[in-house]
This record gives sequence, structure tokens and C-alpha cells, in this order.
Amino acid sequence: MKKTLPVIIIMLVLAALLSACSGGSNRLAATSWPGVSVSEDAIFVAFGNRVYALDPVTGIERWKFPNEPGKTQSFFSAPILVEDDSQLIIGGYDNILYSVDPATGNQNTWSFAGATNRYIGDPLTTARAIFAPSADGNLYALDTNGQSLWAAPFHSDDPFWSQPVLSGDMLYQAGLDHSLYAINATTGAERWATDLGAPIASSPALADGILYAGTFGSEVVALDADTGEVLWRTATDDWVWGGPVVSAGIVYIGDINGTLYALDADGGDERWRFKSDGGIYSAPLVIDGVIFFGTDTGHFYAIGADNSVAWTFAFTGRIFTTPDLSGELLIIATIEGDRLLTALDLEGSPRWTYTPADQSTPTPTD
Amino acid sequence: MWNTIIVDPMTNALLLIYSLVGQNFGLAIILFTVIVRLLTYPLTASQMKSTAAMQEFQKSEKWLSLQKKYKDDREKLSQEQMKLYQEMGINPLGSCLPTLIQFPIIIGLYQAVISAMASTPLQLIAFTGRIYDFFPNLAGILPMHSSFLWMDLSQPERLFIPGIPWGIPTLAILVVITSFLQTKLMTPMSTGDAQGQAATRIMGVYMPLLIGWLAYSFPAGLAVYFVAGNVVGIAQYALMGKLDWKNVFKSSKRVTNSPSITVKSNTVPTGKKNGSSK
Repeated sequence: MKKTLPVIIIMLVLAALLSACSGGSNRLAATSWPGVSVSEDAIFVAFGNRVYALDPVTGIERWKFPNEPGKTQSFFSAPILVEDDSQLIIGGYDNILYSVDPATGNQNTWSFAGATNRYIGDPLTTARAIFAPSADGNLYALDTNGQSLWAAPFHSDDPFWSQPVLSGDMLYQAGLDHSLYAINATTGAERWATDLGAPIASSPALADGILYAGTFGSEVVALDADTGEVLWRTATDDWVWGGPVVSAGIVYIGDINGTLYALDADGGDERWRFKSDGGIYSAPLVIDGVIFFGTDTGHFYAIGADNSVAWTFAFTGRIFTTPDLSGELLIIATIEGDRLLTALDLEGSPRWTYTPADQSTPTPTD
Repeated sequence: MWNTIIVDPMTNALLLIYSLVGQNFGLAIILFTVIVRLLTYPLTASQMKSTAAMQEFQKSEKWLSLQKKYKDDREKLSQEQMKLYQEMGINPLGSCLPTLIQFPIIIGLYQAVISAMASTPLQLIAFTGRIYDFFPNLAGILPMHSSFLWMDLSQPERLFIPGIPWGIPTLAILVVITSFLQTKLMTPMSTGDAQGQAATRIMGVYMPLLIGWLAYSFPAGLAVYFVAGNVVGIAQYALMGKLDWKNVFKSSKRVTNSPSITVKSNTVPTGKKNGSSK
């Protein structure tokens, strides 16, 4: 045994090296940024192997789900309340869609295990339906008991990474397969599909019958929501990962080179641009004409509609999640920093921070 | 530094092959592995040549007599061994040096394959950060299509057969078989002392199981890479005219029955014994 021990040690070291090189197995190396949603009563954040519910005023943790995470469980898609607040819908990186009691964090009686890949995009809910985009290329439609609403899920050849948009009876789903889809929300039948030539990682914005989407092809594209016809295209300096926001006839969108664009919603003409310090990977948030957005270098900006900087805030981590508004507080999620969530008031002053006790140093790997 | 010199060029090469073979990731991994193995063939050939020379050395009468003569004086034996190396024109590092040079290439290849199988947003950001700015139409060929035959290369592979409630890890099994064959066919089994034989036995049994475990647990793209690498390795060995399937069975039998593994002294001339059994 003495003579064989060095060989065994060498093999174990080799195994450890190979494991380290890969960043862990596919299940355990699930890496993404936090998913955040807010309601009147709570803030929900999914990150790592748990989902947390916080008091929106104090940031104090109320509950966490699950109490004892399984080895394959991790969550990065934003938890979404159904319209009557009776259920919190959580998509997992374990391919399972969970229904949880939003008051207690206890799992409800149903979960949906029909997907064959993880949930990266946020689910969309109404009073009677749940639409869950999966990285297996399917958009699942369920009732609030977890039963399928459509004869078959809507399918594309590549993953869906973004939340669908609902207008009337029409769902709009962006795909990594380069296409933007219009789908009948009742039947799941495709109404139209338009190939934009490059992956679309974020949700489109819908305003006045026009869809706006940013693509990895370094473009912002406007389409007729009824027909899918392309109305205009505007080039950006780099890939567009985060989605657009439309406010007062202006489309605000950022690229991964860190440029925020203000485009005319009618024809796509550039009104102004603002160069930030870092890449922009999420949609901005617009409140009363002020545009809030964060960058992957941890800089958070408040920009006026006239392209003036109102204030900035520097985080130690990286920002990939779209900021959210809870009451009068901006909720900003960071990774690889010293906290998971920070609440800033609209003037940029911190009110509270939150770091889960079980993830004292939030990192993208669980 | 490591990424700039090793991983990034390999990742770009893998992506280029992917774009040239109709965006088939499985085929790209196989071709990429074959090309890298062909490029490093001179190193492999040199390693095999040195290994063969070392085998001959260990079987030589001179070395066996030296072992007997200096069995109680290891220092003197070492000195005589080095002299004999010089006489026979053998470089004792000849077999391990090419392996050491290949090691970073193998690790880089492995990292490039893992990187290209980005299946989450942060992984995709890391992957695209490795791609050179001048790479043509990167956005147009993303995302990488991970389906290949019955597999999703971004997930651990399982083959589901009607009537069987669990998935069969066929690719992991294939990895174990090809790794076992490669180890048996390419590792000298009949020479060396007890320690060497024991190490060879462990490498021959446990290394395929270790690689198989990795293939079982990690995304299937990695398992495709393992299988392709093993098959190319065996093919290269065959092209050198050194493929002897009897080795697979002979070595097992020998290991099972060999008393040399348990002997106290490493000076027992097992090489002669094994040599005569051929």
C-alpha cells in the first residue's frame, strides 16, 4: 500500500484539478445573478441555493426557502407572485417550478417538474395562468394548480432566458435562437416569429403597439406587435444584453460596452448617449424621468432625462440585475461583493443592506 | 497569462471549427481533439519511443545483473543505473518530458471545451470574453447548439430506453472502456519492479474509473472529448505498429497472479519473468 499511495494521491490531485478547471458539475456550477421582485408587503430575492423574503422597510429576513436545500437546488430566476398574491412562483436551476406560500415560505402542494433544463428567465403570472420560460427551449403554460394549459409547450430550438410579455391574449417571447415570437396565450399557437439575426437575452418592451428589443447583434430593433414586421433598427456600439425601457416616447437601453442610449421610439433616432464605467447587462429603471441603471463594475447611476448625472453610487460587487422600486426605495442586487441587496433612497443614500446569513460573501457559485 | 497563451486560443479554435462544421458542437469537439492530438503527435511519438527504450533497458541482462549485484546499496545502484543509461543512449526523462509538455495542452483543451459549453448567463459572459474581437459574426453563431446525437452536451448524458426506469450513462461507460483500453495498450505492463507494477496496475484500473466518474458527473461534451481523445490515442499507437490486443488480457492475468506486487524487495527481476511469458 505504501508503494501505491503516491499514485493514488497523484490521481486524486488530478481529479481535484480537473474538477476545479470545470468549475464543478453542471448542477453545482449553476452560475447567474440574483433574481429580485418586489410586492407591497415583501421583497423576494433568489440567489444560490435559496430564495429569501425580506421586510421591504427594514430589509430584515422573514423566511427562506427551502429550509434544507437539496444538492441540486439553486435559484436565480426572480420569484413572481400570482395576481391574487396567493402563491409565489419560483423557477429553479434544478428544472423544477415551485409554488410557495408567500407569507411563510412553505412549499405548496404542487410543483412542476416537466422541464428538462433550468429556469433562467422569470415566470410571468396572471390571476389564472403561469407562463414559465425554460432553458430547455420550452415556454410552459400552467394553471395555478400546476396543470398544463396548452396541449404542448411552445417550443424553440434554443433556450429562453427572459420573461415573456403579455398584452391581451398575445404573449411575446424573446429567444436565444435569434427570434422574437408572438404566441396565443390561450392555445400556445404561434402567431408570428421574426428572426432578428442574433440572440435576444432579455425581455422586449411593449408600448403603443410596438415591440422594442436589443440583440447580441449590436442592434435595437422595433417591430409591429401585430405582425412582427421590423419598423426600424438602430446600431449600438456593442452587444445589447439588457432589455429596453420605454418612457415618454424615448427608448432607454444599454450595451455591454457601457453606453446607455436614449432613442426616439418612433424612428430609432439617437437623442443622446451616456458612457458609463462598466458594461450594462440589465434593463434600466425609469422613475419620474430619472433613469437608474447599474454596471458590471458595480457603479450605479441616476441619469436625468437631459443626460445629466444626478448621482452615482459605487458598490464593491458587480450589478447584473435590473434595479427595482419598493415604495420609495431602490433595491439593487450585487454579486461578488460584500452584500446581496442594498436599498437606496431616490437621492442615492443607503437605507439598509442585506446579506443572507448562510452566504456571508455572496459569490456567483453555490 | 495561462488563459491568454493556452485557453483563449484553444477556445477560439474550437469556436471556429464549430462555425465551419455546420454548428455541430459534438463534431467540433471531436475534430478539435483530433487536430490537437495530431499537432502534438511528435511529442506522443517521442514519449512512446522513450518508453519502449526504457522497457528494453529494464529487461536487459546488464541491468538485471546490476540489480542483483547492488541490491543492498541503492546509492551505488543509482550511479550504475545512470552510467548504463549513458551507455545505452537512454534519456531517463525521455518518456516523461513529452508528457509534461502535453499536460498543459490537455488541461487547456479541457478548459476550452468546458468554457464553450456555457449554459448560464455568467458562463456565457465568461466565454464570450475569451473570444477575439476579430472573430467573424460571433453573435450570429451563438448560442452554441449543444444537441448531438441523442445527447444534450451541456448536461450529464443518460440514455433512456423504454421499459427501463433510469437513464443509462452510456457515454461514461464508453469513456471507462476506451480509457481502460488506452491505458492497457499504451502502458508497459511487463517490466519494472514490484513498485512499478503496482503503480501500473492502479493506473490501469483506477484511472479509467476516475475519468469515467468525471464523464458521469459532468456535461456530456466533456465525455465526448474524453472518448475522442482515447480513440485518437489508441489509433496513434496502432499507426506506430505497437498495438497488441493481447496486452489487455495478459496484463490482467499477470497482475492478478503476480507475486511480485507483494515482495519486499524491488530488485526481483520480474522483467525477465514477464518477458519470457510473451
